[in-house]
Amino acid sequence: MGNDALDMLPLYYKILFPSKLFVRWLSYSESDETYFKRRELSFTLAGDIYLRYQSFPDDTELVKALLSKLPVKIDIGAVFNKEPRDNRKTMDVLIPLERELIFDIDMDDYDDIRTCCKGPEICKNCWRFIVIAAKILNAALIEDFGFKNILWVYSGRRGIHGWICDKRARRLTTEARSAIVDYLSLIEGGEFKSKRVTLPANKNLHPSITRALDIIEKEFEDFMVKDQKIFDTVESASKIVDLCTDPELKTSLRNKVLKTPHRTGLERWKCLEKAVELHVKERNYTRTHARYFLDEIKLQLCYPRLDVNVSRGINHLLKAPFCVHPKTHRVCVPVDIANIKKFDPFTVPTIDQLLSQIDAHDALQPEEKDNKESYAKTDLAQSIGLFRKFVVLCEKEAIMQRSSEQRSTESLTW
Amino acid sequence: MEFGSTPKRSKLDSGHVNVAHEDFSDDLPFYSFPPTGKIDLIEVDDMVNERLSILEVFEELKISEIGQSKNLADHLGTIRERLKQIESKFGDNFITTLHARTLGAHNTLKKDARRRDQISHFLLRLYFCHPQEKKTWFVNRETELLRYRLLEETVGKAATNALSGQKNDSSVVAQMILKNNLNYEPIHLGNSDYDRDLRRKASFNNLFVTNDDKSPFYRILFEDALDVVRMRKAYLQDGYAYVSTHDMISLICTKFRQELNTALSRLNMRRSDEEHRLLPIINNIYLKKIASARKLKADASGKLKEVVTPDMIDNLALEHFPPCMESIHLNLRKNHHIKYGGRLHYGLFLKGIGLSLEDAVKFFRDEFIQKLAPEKFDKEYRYGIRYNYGKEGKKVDFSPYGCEKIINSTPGVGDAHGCPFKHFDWTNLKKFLVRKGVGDEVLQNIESLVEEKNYSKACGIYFTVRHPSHQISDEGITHPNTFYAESRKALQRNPKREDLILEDEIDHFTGSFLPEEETLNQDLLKLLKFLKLLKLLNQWIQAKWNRNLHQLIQTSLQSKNLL
Repeated sequence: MGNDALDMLPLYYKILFPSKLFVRWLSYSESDETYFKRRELSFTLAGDIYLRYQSFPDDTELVKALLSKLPVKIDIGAVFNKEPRDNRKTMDVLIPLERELIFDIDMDDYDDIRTCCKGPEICKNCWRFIVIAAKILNAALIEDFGFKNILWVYSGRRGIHGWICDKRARRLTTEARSAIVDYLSLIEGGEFKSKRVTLPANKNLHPSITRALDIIEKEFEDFMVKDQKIFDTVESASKIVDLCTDPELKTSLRNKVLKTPHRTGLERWKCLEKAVELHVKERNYTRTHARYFLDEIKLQLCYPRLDVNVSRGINHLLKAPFCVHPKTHRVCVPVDIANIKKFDPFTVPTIDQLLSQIDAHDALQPEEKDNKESYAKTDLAQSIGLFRKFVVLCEKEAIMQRSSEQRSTESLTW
Repeated sequence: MEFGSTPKRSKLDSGHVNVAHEDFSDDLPFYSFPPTGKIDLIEVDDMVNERLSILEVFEELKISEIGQSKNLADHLGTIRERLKQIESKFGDNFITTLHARTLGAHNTLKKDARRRDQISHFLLRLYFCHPQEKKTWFVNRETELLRYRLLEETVGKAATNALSGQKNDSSVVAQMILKNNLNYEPIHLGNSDYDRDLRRKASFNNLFVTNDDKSPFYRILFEDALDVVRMRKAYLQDGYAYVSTHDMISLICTKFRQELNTALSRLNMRRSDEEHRLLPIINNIYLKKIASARKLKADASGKLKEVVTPDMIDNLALEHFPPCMESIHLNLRKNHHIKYGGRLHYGLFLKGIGLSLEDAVKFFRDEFIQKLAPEKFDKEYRYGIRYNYGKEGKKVDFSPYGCEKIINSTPGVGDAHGCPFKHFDWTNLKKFLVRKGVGDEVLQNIESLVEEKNYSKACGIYFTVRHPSHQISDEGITHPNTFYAESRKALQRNPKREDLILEDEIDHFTGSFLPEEETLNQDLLKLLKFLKLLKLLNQWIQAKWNRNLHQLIQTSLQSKNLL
């Protein structure tokens, strides 16, 4: 983090960081009051110094620590069997018990297919990969797994984090997390495999894959063909054609799609689409490996690419919402998944902008200077509003669950 | 002996084990309740022998590994044949008897087989509840056995029934669930639009669903159906998995595995009761049957008591590493980095061939710091290497991964690990094999094996190309460290190969270092250099003698090149 931003951190933690809400969130209205106290928070200080196993009794202590240590990054870990900071005080081992189910989608994993930028760069164009991925994951988590409390958070530069906070999700075992991740992973194969999605031709598609395809379908032409220009050159188009495993179809595709240099990308794609459809139809659908070739292309290019190790472990750290990204200075704000299409990572406020917004507001409306929350004077207001809504949602779940449990025990005593 | 949970033991005259109460009504038991009663010690011996022979079959022929492939029926057939060959003092072994379709449920032969099945299972529990390694072996084999028996009752029967025109009978599974309180309730879908839609989605796995297909689905919390969730075998809705009767088999097996594990842990606390009586008997049989067979295998995967140092790895990689490890190695050398999975697979492999922890840290560090700051390596990667050697975290001395694990791994974007025969595209695999000197005919052979998903065999063929005169087992390669060990042995036994290379190398010696040249033994290299120098010196003296200036310049140039 540059020195300027580092200088601004004390003020940010003091007047902007929603520490009360943050602690309320991680307390989940659990009847066990030690729930938040047993949560590991980990700080990264300037100069890459890691402080693991921090834990706090309440938001006052948290803010105190934030102000004295000024972490450039805060990570959230698991809820343990005892307060992590007391680890050395007692003899019993520190065991992670619960944590949210988390997902990390990072542009890094799309480097081999995006054509607009490379490395840490992103643009509005390739951000769409992330949007599609988040939509597909969100739908699966809600419709298939029945989760309700999902918080999506911009990672500050070129990715997005998903926090699944339902009680049921927090209590998942490592095996269950692993199974969920496998269920949600379609892209496989490492450095030496160019065809990374293979769907069994002798079976119907799993309903969750069909749903993912429906989501991709809406964007594919506009996004992959027009914006990402994957069929614009013969060279890039031939990479796609080469994925075909049916030798006969591959030869015919080479002739039809690649041998005509003066074509637009869209024309090439349409031509490929038609040729494959015809081929499959002629062979009565099931009698060819190429049955799902078009779907395989779409999935390989647009299906979410997960960092699986993040989601599998119960003890993995993930950056907390409302951190300030050390390089971009942007705040890691929650994203409204219903309107994720409208979310623009380039308009996410930086710490610099936020502080000057406060000054500007105070200059304009001096009467509000001391009787309005600082965040309300800035672009952060909306994000914090979103976050508050989410926290309330989580708390409602806890209360509902408790009252239904109570009812059932009452009826038992009857 | 008491099989039950009551701690008190009846007083016995020697030579008898108590088995009194018998309820052997089940062909397919879940072994929830141990039998009680008396049996002869000689019978104990025979029963243990019989069951161990049966379990041993599943050491080689694992069903869970072939997954959903079409060959399931064939695979079951192979197991069936193997099981039939097992001899038992009681005539046919109990599995064969229990699956004999011609015998009625109340047949005495069947009754006896059920009894043997139950008693032998509980006898072995006693022996296998400790230590962890034995426990794992037993639980895995028993689970496989149960899986086989359930499949045999459904898939196997369906196949024979299809021939005779009978209807498929999946009620075995339903009964099993009912009888053993497995708490899975089938749902019956009616004719409402919602139900029909649900049925259509839930039966996506089945290409041709007919409307009158009324076989039930089980509605199960997804947390209780992880196996089918993981494989995407069931339709999920709102947190529930809709599992077909057929897929319930894997769920039952998982449940069985869990219960057996807990039961064994509980039993372990009381096994001292039998320390001097039953355990020695079983131990003897076990050592004779299983351990000796396994020792042979272990020797083959050979812990060579050899020390490997970082400077040797390049040479070893090219000559002796299996393709999976060689490709990780090349990747590491090329990119100066490999991702987590690669570090895990490769790190453990290197440990297995004799690279010490210090050397492993040095080896990875030297490579990684070409691209990143040394402090970053120390902070982020050193831990993982020390973890492999059991010095961090769980502090377990991990063994190198076998082919099964490597084949079943799922390398993601940018990952270098995995089984080349499975995870490479054919073009990349071909490139690799051609570079290693695999000819066209063998390539075709390997390609068809890869298509059959017989990766171990494919790797075995590759091994034979590398070492034509060295015999390996028929199943092919099952562990990368076995590949390495065998490859080393092959070279020791058959050094001709080296001679060939040597001849070759001498001719090319002044050229740039070809990869093959690195296979030379270091000492030999030194000797060669020395000889070459002598030769050059000799030439140089001659040249000087002839006062042929032209030649003089040439040779000195040559010598520069060499040094």
